[in-house]
Amino acid sequence: MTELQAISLFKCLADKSRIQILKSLMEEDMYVERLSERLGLTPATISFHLKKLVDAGAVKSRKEQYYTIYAINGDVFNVSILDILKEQSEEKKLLDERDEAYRRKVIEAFFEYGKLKSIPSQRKKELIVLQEIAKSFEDGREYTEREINLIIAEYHDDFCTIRRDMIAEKLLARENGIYRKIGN
Amino acid sequence: MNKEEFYEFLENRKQTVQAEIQTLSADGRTDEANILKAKYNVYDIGKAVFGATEKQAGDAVATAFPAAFTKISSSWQVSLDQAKAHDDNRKILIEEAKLSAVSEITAKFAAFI
Repeated sequence: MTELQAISLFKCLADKSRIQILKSLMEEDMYVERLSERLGLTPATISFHLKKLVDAGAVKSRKEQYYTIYAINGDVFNVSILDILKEQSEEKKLLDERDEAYRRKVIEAFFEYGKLKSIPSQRKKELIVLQEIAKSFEDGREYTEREINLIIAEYHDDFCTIRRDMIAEKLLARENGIYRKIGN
Repeated sequence: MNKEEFYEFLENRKQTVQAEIQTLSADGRTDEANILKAKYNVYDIGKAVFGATEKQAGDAVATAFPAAFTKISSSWQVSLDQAKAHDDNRKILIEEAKLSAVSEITAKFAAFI
């Protein structure tokens, strides 16, 4: 289900009459007049709501002799809301692009010819800088403190601060004097 | 005819429909409430048309008002027929709601004269 389809479905469901129609259809498939009698709404009102439910994919219809019979579309309701939320949206892509542009801007501002010009005072910017330095460490490899210091010193003289901050930001883990890169 | 009584009728019906709209909204039936708003507006149209025809026609308002009001509301009947032809359920409900107010108003007006 796309994000737009999900929005359309949720909007459609936000109405008591339509929920009542769906509840009736959960019991059995029905035609307009039967729903009208059952719910005390005019056939025109029922048709109006059914059209919305069909358009949103919540209800299916089929012809049986002279009647149009409506039924719940089980496929739509079997989709988990969590699965819908996990779907990548256009908005998410846009946010990711903006984040990446910001990241590049910070890196360009604080690094020059591979050296860190200064440690950013803003935490958000420092984290980006530290993540960039963390790329120099291999995943899964164990490092002594000296090795860590030498690598960081390639970027900046204040390797102690950077090393400590990388641990605080959970980019590096230290156990019994041995360091390891965390995550990617 | 009693002009004040007719205005009172229009105002009372307006209030009743407004209460129905509020009940529907509170009950989570937003679409039906929105459709009913079209009916609510017809009573104001009735007031405006009556006021205007009374000014223009004076004592002849008894014939001038139904003529003027029918002229306005006849386009709603055309719109309803078109909506039915195109299976436009929302439009059908809106036009039917408006025309039900028109029937109420014309019937009441006929009773007054």
